[in-house]
Amino acid sequence: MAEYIIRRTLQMIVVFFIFLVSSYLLFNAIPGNAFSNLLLNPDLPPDAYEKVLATYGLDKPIMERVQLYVVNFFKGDFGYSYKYYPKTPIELIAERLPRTLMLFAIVNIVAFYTGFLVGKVLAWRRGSKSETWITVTSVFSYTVFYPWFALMMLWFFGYKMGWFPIGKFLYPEKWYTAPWDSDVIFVLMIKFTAIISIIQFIAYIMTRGIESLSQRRNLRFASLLTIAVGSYFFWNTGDALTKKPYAADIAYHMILPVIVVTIVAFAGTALLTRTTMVEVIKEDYILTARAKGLSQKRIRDRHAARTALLPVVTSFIFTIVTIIDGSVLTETIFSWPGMGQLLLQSVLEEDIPVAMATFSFVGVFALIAHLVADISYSYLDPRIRIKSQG
Amino acid sequence: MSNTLKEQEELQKQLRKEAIRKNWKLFSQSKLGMIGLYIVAFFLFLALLQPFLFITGIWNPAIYDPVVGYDKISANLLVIECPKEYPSEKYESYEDCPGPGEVNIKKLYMAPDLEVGDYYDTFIQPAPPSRTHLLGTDSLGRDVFSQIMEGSQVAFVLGLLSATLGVGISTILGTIAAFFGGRVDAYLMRQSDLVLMLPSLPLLFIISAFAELKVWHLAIVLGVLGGLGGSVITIKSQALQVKVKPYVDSARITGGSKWQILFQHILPNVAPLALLFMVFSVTGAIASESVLSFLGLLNIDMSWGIMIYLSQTDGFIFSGLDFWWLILPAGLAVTFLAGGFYLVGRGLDEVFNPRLRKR
Amino acid sequence: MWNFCIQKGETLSNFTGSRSWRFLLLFTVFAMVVVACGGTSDDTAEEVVEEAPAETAAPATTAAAAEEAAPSGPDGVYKMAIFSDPQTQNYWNYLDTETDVWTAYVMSGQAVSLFSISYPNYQLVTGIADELVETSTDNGDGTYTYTVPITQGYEWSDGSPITANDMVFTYNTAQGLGLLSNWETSYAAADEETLGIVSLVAVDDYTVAITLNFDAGLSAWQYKIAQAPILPESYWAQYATDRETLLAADGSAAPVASAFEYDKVEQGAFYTWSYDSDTMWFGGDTTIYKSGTAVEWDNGKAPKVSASFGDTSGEAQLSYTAGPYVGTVEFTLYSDQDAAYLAFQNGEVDFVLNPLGVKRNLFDQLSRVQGVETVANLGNGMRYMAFNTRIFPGSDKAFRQSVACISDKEFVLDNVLQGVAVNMDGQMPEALTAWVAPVTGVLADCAGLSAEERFNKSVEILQAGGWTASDWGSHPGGADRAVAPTGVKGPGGETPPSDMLLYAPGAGYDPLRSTMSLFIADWMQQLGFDVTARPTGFSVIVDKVFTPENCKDWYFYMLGWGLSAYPDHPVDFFNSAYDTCDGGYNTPGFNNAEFDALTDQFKAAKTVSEAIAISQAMEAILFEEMPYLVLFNVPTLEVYRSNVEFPFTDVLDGLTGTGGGYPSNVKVSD
Repeated sequence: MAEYIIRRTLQMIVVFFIFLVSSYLLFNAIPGNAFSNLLLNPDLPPDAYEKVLATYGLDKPIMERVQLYVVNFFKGDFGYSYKYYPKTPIELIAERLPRTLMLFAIVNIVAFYTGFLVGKVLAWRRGSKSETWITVTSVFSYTVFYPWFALMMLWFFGYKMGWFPIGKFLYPEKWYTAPWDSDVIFVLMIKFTAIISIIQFIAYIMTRGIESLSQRRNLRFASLLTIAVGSYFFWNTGDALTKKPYAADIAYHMILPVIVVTIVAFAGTALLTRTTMVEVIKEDYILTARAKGLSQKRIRDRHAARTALLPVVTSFIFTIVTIIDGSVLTETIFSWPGMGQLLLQSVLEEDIPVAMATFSFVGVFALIAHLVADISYSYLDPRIRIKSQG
Repeated sequence: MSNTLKEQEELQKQLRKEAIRKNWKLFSQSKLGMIGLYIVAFFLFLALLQPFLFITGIWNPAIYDPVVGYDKISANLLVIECPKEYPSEKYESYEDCPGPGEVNIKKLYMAPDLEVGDYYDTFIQPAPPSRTHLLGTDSLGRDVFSQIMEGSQVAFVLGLLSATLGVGISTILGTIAAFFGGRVDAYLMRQSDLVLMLPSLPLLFIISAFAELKVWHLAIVLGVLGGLGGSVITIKSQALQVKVKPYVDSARITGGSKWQILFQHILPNVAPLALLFMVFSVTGAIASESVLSFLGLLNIDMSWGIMIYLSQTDGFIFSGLDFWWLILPAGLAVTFLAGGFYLVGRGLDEVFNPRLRKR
Repeated sequence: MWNFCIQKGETLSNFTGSRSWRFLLLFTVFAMVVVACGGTSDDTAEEVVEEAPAETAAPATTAAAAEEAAPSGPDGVYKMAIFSDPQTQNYWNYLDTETDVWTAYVMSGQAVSLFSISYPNYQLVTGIADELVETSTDNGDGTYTYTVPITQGYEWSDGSPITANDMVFTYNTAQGLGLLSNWETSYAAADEETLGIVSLVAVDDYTVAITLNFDAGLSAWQYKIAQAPILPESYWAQYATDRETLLAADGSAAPVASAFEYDKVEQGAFYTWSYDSDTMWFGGDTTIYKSGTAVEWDNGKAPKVSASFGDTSGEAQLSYTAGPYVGTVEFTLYSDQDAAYLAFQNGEVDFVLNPLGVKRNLFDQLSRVQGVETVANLGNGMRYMAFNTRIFPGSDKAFRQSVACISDKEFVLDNVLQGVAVNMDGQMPEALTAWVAPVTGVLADCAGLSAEERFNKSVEILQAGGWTASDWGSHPGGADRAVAPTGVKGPGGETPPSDMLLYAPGAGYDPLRSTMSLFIADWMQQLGFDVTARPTGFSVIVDKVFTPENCKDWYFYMLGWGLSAYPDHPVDFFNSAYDTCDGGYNTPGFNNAEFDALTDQFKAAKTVSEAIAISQAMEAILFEEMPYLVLFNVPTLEVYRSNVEFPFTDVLDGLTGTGGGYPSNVKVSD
């Protein structure tokens, strides 16, 4: 195992190096550069453009720049943003990341959970009319033309009904006198979400072993109540109390994007859960359980669903990887300036240092996630371990 | 000898026919698959209908061409000024003004010396659906129905081309990785990692920025990216399962060459999964094209994504349902065709995955 | 939606399902806990509503306190939407490298200048200078000095006086630290080859002497150096050590020469300015004449000003008293334009800052919405098609003229594009009435002709230019296409190349130019030239036509120009000294000695009337030679809430383009 991890890590470093060089070359292959617009301003002296290029080091031959970039990258120097000079890409990412993390952590949890529930019901109701129609609906909500759909929802709920704000993540007038930046609030909210998710997860693990269905349910309900009460006290004491209205403002702005993304994203998980569960149901031990006379519901929740969870969890890990990628459209439509927008803008404006930094961020994240998925897979399922070594 | 060979061939042919018939039966039992197939067939019909209409002269290209067609629809309208306060004597709400046969003076900001009460020849574009234009016209006077048909052609060409290419690449690479293992496997897997690492949407932005992407360019790009990415890994694992099957071993023992085994035994067994992948990746290709067009990053003349993009930049997307023919058909077409292919894929899944079969 | 599905599924199923209801409830509770992050989502949401008035009350009380100090201290909020985050709040950084309109709109009034421009008549007026100095003194050694007196008594918001030393400091900093691009334009340094500033010194605290190595005319003096930004030495001197330190310094705390200072800067969300109760920068009456402006300013704090500029005889067009009339100016970021207009329609913002204006259909819809006012202005810019005059056939005058003649722009604009844009023939936007040259040459000859007449006329032009053809084709009349000439050969017997491309932005980027390019390419086809319109990405076109190495690699392209307040652009676009092959803006490679001579006169012109006369002579040459086929002008359509009152709304380039929404002059009522 250790040897496997070491070998994979070495391979990963090589892959990352290639990734770095090839994306840098890719960005430079785009016609024009971040400063091409200067060419369109006749008021500027003729050599202004060349001077700017020289200042930002873009006049050097491409191979020299790649070398310089890669060396600096491993030294931890990512250069300056071309557009937001003299800010560094790290500063920009630090500003944007909490917003994306907050929104998409919630979106993914909600979508994953909903999808799992729907998928479970679908698989169990195989062949019924309702299954067909729920599946067809899920498929269309999965393949719906997302930006179009999101704009329609924004129009309907934001404007026509007036239930939710039209984009943005806060109401400016509520923040005129706020002593903090929104990022402070975001970080607090992320911490809070992380803590309750962990508590909930631990509660889930702890109650797994309990045989009695009603007892387990009650215990889980109790843990939820504890969280509810705990968070009530958390938000009503000390530092968090003063931050509460701001956090609530952000939370209110999150509702519509969360709903919209959930509608589009839950179907993926639901369909996957359905497929794996249908396979699992055919396994012998489920038949045995049925023969033992256990209740249908119990078989579904206790036996089938749990086994089917494995591939779903793996797909969840991969979903997390695509958060930033997938957030591009959502963030643009809902005016939520996070990583996705940063990535989109830096690519479109050819702000190479920022684009490279965000690309690398996503890339490192993806590599690690793949490694973790591979390792945990082979750890959880001995059959795969043997195969991967053979 | 030759006779028996012929007989054998005949037999094989029959067997193949039999297999297709059986699979079709299985497929036709899948409700989802059939719904999907109907949807796909419908759009295929639309895609083929448009050239037919042009060739037979039922449609005049000068009017119905999806890109440069133009139908001059104008009317002599009474110039009025919409009131500031509603409800007014004539209008219930601002949505009722201007009424039929009227035009708001604000809209005619370019017309000189116009006064309220005049009659003025005004172009009515986008025109609502009528007998001549089943889905109305867009703001440049082009037939929306014709555009939907053109978009359907684009979607099919793009989806099928990129899916075929992608699946071809990933099947070959996946089987090679499984069959040869070792360094080849490690290299191919890391290559997939590399492709998966690149954020797909921004990557397409980059590619569309430095190349003048036409539909078939995009199809190749999507195909290659899809073919090198995650599907190689999945196909490899499927091929691994086939590799250890007894008949592969027996083929090896009886002295079949490596390539023979690869092409005769492993590839055919991976093919169903590949077909499945292909159908699913059509969905992905159609969605990618629409998103790129929607963001205004593609330089193609017409597609569903462009239609929505144009209705958005023209400011119709938030007009509610007043201009529904500009907003709904294109958006629904993307959704339904992508969904149709997806459903076909699910149907195929039930055919090829014996564990999913009901009986 | 899915919720509903599950319920439906339950009833259809074989299960009794009571437990799954509870599970659903559990899940809902969990989801709400997570989503609202407060554990009590409904409660917190309500609390927001309750707390809102308490919070907004806070700025109101400070504004009330301010009113005691300054009787005119206003309150109220003027809300504007922006589409992109400003790059910086630091004025130095804003002008360095690349200027961005969003940065400009949100930038507080950190800089002053000697002269400035009054809108809506684009009249040159004084800034901090005491008078509009038009003449220089000849030093006899090839240098010329402008000596400008500065009005005494102006102050920055930190209380320090605005003096000649501030300008000297700004000049020295820009030069010394090597600030880029726009700084080089404003404070161009002179050397043997470049025309620029030899020295900029303070004669005394309130007089500045600027010495140039040439006798600058309007475009170099009044509209450039005299409008160069001046920043306070008192604040910036501490940062002026090197470029990076200066550009990284916090601009939101910098002193301003305006009534507004930055208040809350929430990157990625919103920016606010708030009224400075100690300010001297308020009030003042401005009267606008057709080509003149009169200013009366006496608010008891700032130095008294009573001056008139240009021709102030005749009837006044309008007059207004400057504000500010609001206590807070808010810029809210919407990354989606549609969302911004939706919010506007909802009354959440008063004005959407959008340099391109709103699209016509949205304009039409919004014009009918209660509480929305609309205004349409011409844009200060043009869309054009350029011929490459370096290579055949673009090098042939008759060819260019015939293409200009057969291209029925009005048909496309009026019929296909339905009046979304306005036809434009010359280099000057129509609203600069005095500057517009009468249309002459081929455009005048072919105006108003039918398709058939245009075809025949174009063929005549080619024939007169020495072109030959095996068959000159014919036009069947009406709306049909012509039968194209075949075997067309140039005057020297040259055959025009096949597969010539006309690069134009794609329909996604600009449907107008895209449509126009399809039509013009088709017309050229009808003349027997194998030209195809090729929709191309904007940056690809720019890269192709503005790179010196590629200056002979294209035949035709379509792009647009946005123009500045002083219309000296024909000099940059067509003087042979600025050929793109040598890195200039003359993309067609136009080379005409007569024209070049006129541009030199134009640059030296010291009065507007003189400049206009020369400019019209220049345009006459352009109408004859046709290096550009100017296509059209796109009007800027803008909308604002009816509770906002602008001092004026009719202004070339619109309210966004000229004044960034005029935050210090608008009145906002509830």
